[in-house]
Amino acid sequence: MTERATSTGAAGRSGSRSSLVGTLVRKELREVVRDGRFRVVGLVAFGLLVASLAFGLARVRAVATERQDAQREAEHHWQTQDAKNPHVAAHYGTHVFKPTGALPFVDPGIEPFVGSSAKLEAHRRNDLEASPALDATGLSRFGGLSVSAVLQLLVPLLVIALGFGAWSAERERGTLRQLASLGVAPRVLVSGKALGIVAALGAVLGPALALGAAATWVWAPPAGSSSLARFAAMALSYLAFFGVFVGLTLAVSARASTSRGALVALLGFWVWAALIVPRAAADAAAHIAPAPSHAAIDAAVRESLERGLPGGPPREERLTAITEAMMEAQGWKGAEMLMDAALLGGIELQSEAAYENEVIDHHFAQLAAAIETQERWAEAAAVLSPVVAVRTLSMAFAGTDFAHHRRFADAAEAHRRALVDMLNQNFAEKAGTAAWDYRAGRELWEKAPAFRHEPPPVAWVASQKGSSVLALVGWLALATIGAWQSAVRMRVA
Amino acid sequence: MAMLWTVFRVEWRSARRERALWAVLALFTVLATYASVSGWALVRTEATVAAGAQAEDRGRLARLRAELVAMESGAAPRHATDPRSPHVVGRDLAPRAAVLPPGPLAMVAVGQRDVLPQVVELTTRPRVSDPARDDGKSPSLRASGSFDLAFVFVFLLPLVVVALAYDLLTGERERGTLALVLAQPVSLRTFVLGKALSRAAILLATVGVLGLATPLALGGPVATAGGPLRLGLYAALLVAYVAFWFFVALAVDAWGRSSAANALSLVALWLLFVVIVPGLASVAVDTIHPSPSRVELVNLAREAARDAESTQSSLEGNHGKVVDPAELGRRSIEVQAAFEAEVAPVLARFREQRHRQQGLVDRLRFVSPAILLHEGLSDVAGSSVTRHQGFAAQVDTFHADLKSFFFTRQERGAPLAAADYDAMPAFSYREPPDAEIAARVGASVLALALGCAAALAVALAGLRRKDAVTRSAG
Repeated sequence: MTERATSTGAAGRSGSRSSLVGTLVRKELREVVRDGRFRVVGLVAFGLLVASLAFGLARVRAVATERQDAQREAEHHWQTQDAKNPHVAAHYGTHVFKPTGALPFVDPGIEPFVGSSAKLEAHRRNDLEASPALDATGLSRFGGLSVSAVLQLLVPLLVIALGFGAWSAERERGTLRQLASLGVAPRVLVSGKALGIVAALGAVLGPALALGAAATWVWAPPAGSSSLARFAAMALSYLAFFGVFVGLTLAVSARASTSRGALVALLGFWVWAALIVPRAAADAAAHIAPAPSHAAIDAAVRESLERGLPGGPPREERLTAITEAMMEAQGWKGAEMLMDAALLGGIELQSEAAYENEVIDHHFAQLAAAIETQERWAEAAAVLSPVVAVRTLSMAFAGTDFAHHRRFADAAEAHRRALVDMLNQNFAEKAGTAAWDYRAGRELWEKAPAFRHEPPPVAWVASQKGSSVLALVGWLALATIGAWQSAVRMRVA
Repeated sequence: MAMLWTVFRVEWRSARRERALWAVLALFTVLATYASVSGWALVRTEATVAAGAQAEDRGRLARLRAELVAMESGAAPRHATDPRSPHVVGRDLAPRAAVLPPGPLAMVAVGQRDVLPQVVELTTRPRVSDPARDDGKSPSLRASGSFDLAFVFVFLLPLVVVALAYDLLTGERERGTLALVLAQPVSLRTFVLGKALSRAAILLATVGVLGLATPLALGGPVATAGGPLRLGLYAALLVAYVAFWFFVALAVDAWGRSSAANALSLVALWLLFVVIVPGLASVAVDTIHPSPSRVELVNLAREAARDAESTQSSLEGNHGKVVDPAELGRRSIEVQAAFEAEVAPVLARFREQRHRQQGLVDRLRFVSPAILLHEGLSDVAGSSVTRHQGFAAQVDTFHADLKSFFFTRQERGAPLAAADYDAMPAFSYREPPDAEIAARVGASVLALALGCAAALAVALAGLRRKDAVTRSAG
């Protein structure tokens, strides 16, 4: 015997609807609060959020101070080095350290797996070193305790626990028939149920959100605007994510024949979305789109430096072309006979560096493209799981994803080139007859550009991760429609 | 006992018709098979990379030796590539590969193998820290974790147990069949235990086939030394882990009011043991024995290298100047010795701290069955931090041998001869005694068995309660 709740009675009109929804929300909330289990689970979730936030903040602050100190020390090393030939100084080189991201205490992202310091020196682009993964224990593979892990794994479970019986339990108790007979529109009922879950969730997440905002403020007070905008964008992503689970939970609860069936189906989806898909997608992406290793890239760079780029002119030919172009640009073409040896030597060094940069750019662009393909494959799994979408966005807004890392690595490389260029230029211009015996001193070292790296604005992040935003919005739409439709077409008995 | 067997058979017959159970097992099979194949592909790549590095190493030496022989018959040397100069050969021309070979069950668990270097190239240059392993995998993918059998067993297997056993008792009660069954001459305890054993048998058979057949078929660990021992420990770990979760499910069942409440409680316990406790343990390790800062190490090494590097780079970067090679050799040994003396205490502190960290992890693993299994699988697979620390210590010794080999010749000012090439030290990894692994993993299995006993006691206490048959959802 199935009846359909198709009532569109007086309650459908706007004036009384809001107060009706309010009544419904209060009713749902009262049921939840009376259940002692929710209080315990809610408190545990809140406690975990606060603990992970505090721990994340403490750790990130320590790391930030350490890197700032290291950066200062490296600059000091550079400026107080002995007098030497500028090109020798380029070999001596310096280090730059990666500033911590915008909100790393919420989501550590890939930080535990990437290096944070680059040695900048003449002739080569070094890989980033000092990766924390080298000192990690096996425990790190459980993911550690972070705010993002609690939000991505635990909160969806909380939503499921709160809502799996929203419809089915009423049906089992027989109160659903009663509810339908009141003449309340199903969409009013479903809004009431959804807001009831949201209100209960809000009791746990609201204070945590406030604490997070405060932490963001403390973390980055002066230039806080970008961090706060990122925090807002991240909070929105998570809210949409929780919305997906609220919608799906209500939809499944309305369709399932028993509460137990609804729960098992929802837990199954959670295992699928939060545990299986993210790992499987990442693992499969590495097999589908293999990328060259850094060692392979290094070897390819060495090979091309000796012989010329694959498909391009051989090294010597290309070097001559670069030197000629450089001479022409400086207006020295044809005046080689009149130039002193040091100037020629300096120009030679500069064109050699330009050639090296061409080779490095070629191979690193290939590496970056291969890695980007991998990332796109893994991110495409957002179609299969909203957790993948929110994970991508969370890391991106926290400034701890690969795009941010690459932005830093590229900035460090640009800085290296500027530095080497400046030193070679000085050699060409100032060495004169002293040639390789020419020494530059502190004055020149102090003229070296300082390395400053700021996180990009939030709009840059959003433009990078448009597909994940789209996927999350798609999931939210799907879940909302699902909850809606199931409520309208529900069997009451 | 006979009654237990009857219940076992009855349950098997009813389980055969339960579609949901087979759907869960089918999904589990697909995932475990994928994990096996993925793990196997990884090991194969590793073996190729290792073999490639060793072949390149041998090829380099052979080429240099051939050049040297040709020179003895009068070919002209070029300083920068002179195969007779111990300084140039040791420092630049002949990097030696030290390889940590994958263990016989490597495909089971990736562990820390994907970040710790498995191949280290050594020259006589000072070695502050080896770069993290990088095999063309985006760091985001690495941060997601590997989809290996260890993941399938540690994370997913307990959830399969939950799916199979969350309603053993409450399900019968809710269907109204429990009272009927107990009208037969069977006790509640026997009935529930029989049902649990029957389902555990189905799952163990599946896990046995998936966990053992693939490594056996693809890896052939039986033939290798230490293989059978590791295989045995691996099987014991899996059986103990499955049993633990079955008994936990039974305990929740015995005390639970409804199937839905049981499912929620079990998932909460899963979350506690597999996510929250390991997370907290990891925080504890980070807090009690924080890793010494690698960022600081960069600058400390820089400080120590300051004079060394400026001397060195003034020698190297002076493209225009000709330096006497013998002088260069002697001075670089001195510079390096000074540098290494300064960095050594820092590196020693690093090593000690990492040992302390791992020691703490070894003790903390007992707080969660998931950590016990994860660390145990890493151990039997040869992917553990402990094994890598042993490898790193052997590499240190080898590096010292390599340096002393070249430096003594460099100091003597004697050119290398063909005989020196034949006497050059080569690295080969020595596996630590099997007893170490047996003791560590054995303790883990024992701890899991104790956990089983505790859960079983709780379950039996629940089944003895008077209202165990009649109690229903409130």
